[in-house]
Amino acid sequence: MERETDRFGSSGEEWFEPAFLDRLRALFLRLRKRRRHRWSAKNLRHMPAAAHNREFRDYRSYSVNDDFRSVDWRVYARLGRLFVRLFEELQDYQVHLLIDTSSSMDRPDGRKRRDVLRLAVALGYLGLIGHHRVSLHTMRDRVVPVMPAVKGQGSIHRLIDVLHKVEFGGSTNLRACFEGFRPVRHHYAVTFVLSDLLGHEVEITEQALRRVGSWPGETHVVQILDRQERAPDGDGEVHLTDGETGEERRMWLIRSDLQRYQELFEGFLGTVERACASRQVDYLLWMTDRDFEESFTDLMDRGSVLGGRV
Amino acid sequence: MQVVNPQMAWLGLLLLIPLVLFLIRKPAVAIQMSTLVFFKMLSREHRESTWLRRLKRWLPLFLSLAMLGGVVLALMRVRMADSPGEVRRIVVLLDRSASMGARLPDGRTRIQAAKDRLEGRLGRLSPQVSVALIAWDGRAEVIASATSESSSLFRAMREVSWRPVEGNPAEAVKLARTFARDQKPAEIWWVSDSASPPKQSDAERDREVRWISLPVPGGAGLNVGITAFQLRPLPMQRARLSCFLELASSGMAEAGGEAKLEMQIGGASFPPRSLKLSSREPLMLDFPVEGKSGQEMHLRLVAEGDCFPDDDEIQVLLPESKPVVAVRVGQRDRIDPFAHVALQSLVSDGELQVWSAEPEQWPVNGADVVVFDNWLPDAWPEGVPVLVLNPPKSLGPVSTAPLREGGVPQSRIRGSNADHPVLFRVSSERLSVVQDSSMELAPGLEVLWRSGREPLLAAGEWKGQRVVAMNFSPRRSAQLPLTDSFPILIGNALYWCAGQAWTAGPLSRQSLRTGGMLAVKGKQVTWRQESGSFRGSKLLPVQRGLLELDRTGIWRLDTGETGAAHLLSLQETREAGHAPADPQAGVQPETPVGPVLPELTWLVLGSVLGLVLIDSLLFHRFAV
Repeated sequence: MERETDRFGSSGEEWFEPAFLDRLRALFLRLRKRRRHRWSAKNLRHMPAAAHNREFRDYRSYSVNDDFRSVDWRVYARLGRLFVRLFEELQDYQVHLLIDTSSSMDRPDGRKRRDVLRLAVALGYLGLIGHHRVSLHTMRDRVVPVMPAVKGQGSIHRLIDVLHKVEFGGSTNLRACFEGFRPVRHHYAVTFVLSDLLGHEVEITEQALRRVGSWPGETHVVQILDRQERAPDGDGEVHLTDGETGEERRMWLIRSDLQRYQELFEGFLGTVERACASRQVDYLLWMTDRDFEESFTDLMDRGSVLGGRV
Repeated sequence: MQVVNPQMAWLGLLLLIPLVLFLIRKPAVAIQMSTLVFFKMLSREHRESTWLRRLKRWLPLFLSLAMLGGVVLALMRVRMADSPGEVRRIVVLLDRSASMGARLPDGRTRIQAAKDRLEGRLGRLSPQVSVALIAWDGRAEVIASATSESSSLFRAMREVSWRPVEGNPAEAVKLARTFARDQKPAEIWWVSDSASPPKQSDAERDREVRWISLPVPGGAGLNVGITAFQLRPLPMQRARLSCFLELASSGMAEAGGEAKLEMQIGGASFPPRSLKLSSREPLMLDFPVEGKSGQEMHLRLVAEGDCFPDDDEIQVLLPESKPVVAVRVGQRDRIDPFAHVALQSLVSDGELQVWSAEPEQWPVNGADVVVFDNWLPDAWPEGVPVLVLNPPKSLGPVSTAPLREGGVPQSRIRGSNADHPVLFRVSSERLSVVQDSSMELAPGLEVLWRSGREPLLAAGEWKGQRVVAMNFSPRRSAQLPLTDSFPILIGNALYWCAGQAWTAGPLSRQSLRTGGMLAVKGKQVTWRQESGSFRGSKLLPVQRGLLELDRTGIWRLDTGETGAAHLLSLQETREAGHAPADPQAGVQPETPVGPVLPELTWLVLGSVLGLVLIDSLLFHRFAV
C-alpha cells in the first residue's frame, strides 16, 4: 500500500508526453500490419457485410463460387482474364470512451489516472485514424459527456485538450452511470469503460455490470488497478482513509489479514470477470505497473473492431 | 499483609519500562486507500474475533507487567494472610557465659549442644519467619538481626562460642523484647543453662510475645572452681604478700568432696593442699605467698569429675617492687635534726629513698610520700600521701593554733589505738613531748596520741589521701627522739602513708574479673594462658584506650604494664555443675509456621501461567 505521499504526477505533462503520440502511431502501424496479415489469410467473402461503405483495396483471380458482381469487367475487357475486386470494409463506428474520474482513480499515487488518460488518448486516436466518430464521457455519480462525437485525425488534439481539463474527484456510482448511459444506435457502437470499478460492494458492482451487457455494439470493460490495491503490504496498526468517501477506519492488521484481503480482492476480480463474460462483454484487467504498449496490444488482441477483428 | 523485604519495593520501578514501551509504541500508520470495501469485508469477518484481537493487543503488556510484578513481589516476599497462631518473628537469646563451656559426657560443650539443637529447630521454620540471634554473657551482642536467610543465620550462629565471663542477661532481655515488639506474633527463645527465663509480662501477652525455654542438654553434674582471689600486702612487711582465695563447688555431696589446690611459683611446685569442698557454702583460704617480685604464680584446683576446668586456675605475675620515694621539704634552718636522723636510718637500697628539698623547690614530682618538716606550702598537695611534722600553720586537714613561746611539755601521752599500723611496735608509755601548737583535725583522721584532750599524733585518710600529722617538736621533746620508738614511728608513718607504693603497679590489676573494661595506655596487648580452653598466646589491639577483659590469663601491654584476669564467678561455677534432670523438660512444642510459599506468590504465578495459556490459545486456536 502506498503512503499518502509521492503522488504520481498531477499535471498533464506527466501523463502525456509529446513522444507518446509518436509511440501511438508506431503502435497503430503494427496493429494495422497484423490486421492485414490476418485478412490476407482469410477468405474475404467471409468478411462481415457491413452496411455502409467499402474501399477498394486489391484484385485477385476469379475462382469458382465468387460473386460475379465483384468481377471487374473493365480489367477483363482489357486483359481477357477474370479478376475480382477486393474491398476493405469501412465501418463508421461510434467509439464511446467512458472514463472513471472519481477520486479512487487518483489513488494511491496517480498511476491509474495516468493510464486511464493515456488509454483514452490511444483509443481515441485509434478511432479517429480509422475514420470513426469518437466521443468522450466522464463517470462519477453519473455519465457526463465532455466531448461530443468528433471525426478525423485532426480531432486528436481536441481530445487531448479535453482530457487535460478533466478533473478527478468525488465518488463512483456505477449503477447510476451504467443505467444512465446508452450508446448510439445509428452507428455501430464500440464502448470502452475505463474504470477501476471500486467504491461499491461486490454485489452492486456485479449488478451494475449486467446493464453493460445490454448495450448495443461491442463493449469493452477495462479495469485499471494498481499493484498496491490488489496486494497491499504493511501490518500492524493502520489508520485507513477511503479516497472517495473520506471514511476512516482504524485496524490492526496481521499477515493473515493481508492474505485474506488478497483473497477477497481476487474474488472480486473473478466476480467482475464472470459478470462480463456472462453478458458477452469483453473484460481486461489493466495493471498500472505493466508496460502500456503490451497492455494495449493485449486489449486490441481481444477482438475489437478498432483493432481489426476478424 | 506483611512484607518481609520491603526494601525490594524499589524494583517496582521496572514496571514502568513495559508501560513506557507500550505508550511509545509505533503509532498507527495513516494510509489513503482507493476504497475500504474489502477492509470492511475483512472487519465483518473479524467481527466475531474483534474482542480477541483487542485482547491480544493488550496481552503482551499484561504479561510483561505480571511477570515483572511477580518477580518484585516474590523478592519482597509479600504475604496476604496468616495461618492462625503463625509466628512472624523469633528472637533467640543464646547464653554464652562461662558455664556454657562445661563439657557434656559426649565431649561437646553445652553451647555446642545448644547450637545443634537450635539449628535443627530453626531449620524447620518457614522462610517467612524472621529470626534474630542475640548472644549474651556479661553484655549482649546482636549476632544476627531479624533475618530470613537461614544460611547466613546458621553461619553467624556457628561463630558464637562461650566466653569465660559471668552472665548477666538484663541487657539481652531488653534487646530481645525490642526485637519482638517489631513483628507479632513473636517468640523469644531462651537458650541457657541458667535459671528459667523472665516471665512473660502482661504487655507481652497483649502484643503476642511468647517466651519459650530451650534448656541446654544435661552436663556432668560436678564442678569445682576458684570464685574469689586477691593478692594483699602483708601489714608492715614490705614486699610480702598474702593470697586470699574463695573455693566453691557444685554438684558435690553435702558431706563434701575431695579437691586439691596445687601451687607453683617461679616454676617451683609447692606441696598441694587437700581440701574438702561442699556445695553448700564456699571455702575461704588466706596464706602468705612465698615468692619474689616478678615471678609467675599458678594456682589450680583439681577435683575428679570436674566438668569445667576453666574456673579452676589462677595465673598471675607477682608484682615487681620498687623503693618508696620520700621527699622531705622544709627550711634548712628549721628542719628537725632528730627527724632527719630517723629518716636517714630508714634509708635502704631498693626499699626506701629519702630526698630533701627546700621550700623554693616545691612542688616536687615523683614522690610516694611527702614529709613536711616544720613547713607547709601555700596549697595542700593532693593525690600524694603526706607526713606533717609540727605544722606551723593551718592547711588542709590540719588546723593549728600556736601555743606559748617554747611550747607546752606533755608527759602524759595516751595512745588510743595500739593496733593501728602507725603504732606497730611503738610504745606510747614513758614518752614526753613538747607541743608547739594546738591541733584540730578534719574528719577521717584518727587521733592516735593525745595528752588530755590535745591531739598529738593523728593518722587517717582525707579526701582519699593518707595523712599522718604530729604537732610536737622532736628536737625539744626529751623522751622521744632518742627512744627506739621514734624512728619506728617515723618508719611506720612513712610506710603506712606509702601503702602499696612499693609495687611497680597496683596489686588490684592482678585480680581482675573478666567481663569488664579497663582504661589503659597502649595500643596492643598480649594475652597468655598456660592451660584451660584458651591456652596459648594472642596479640590483640587495644580499641580506644579500653582493654576488654573477655578472657582469662596474664595480659601485658606494649607499654610494659601487666595484669591478670580471672573468671572468679560463684554463679558460673555453680551453674557449670548444675544439670537439668530431663533435657527435654521445659521444651515447648514446635513453633507453628506458615506455608512454604506465601499466598501472593501463588497468585502471581497463577496469573502469569494463565496469561501465557491465553496467549497460546489465541495464537493456536484463533490465529490471533
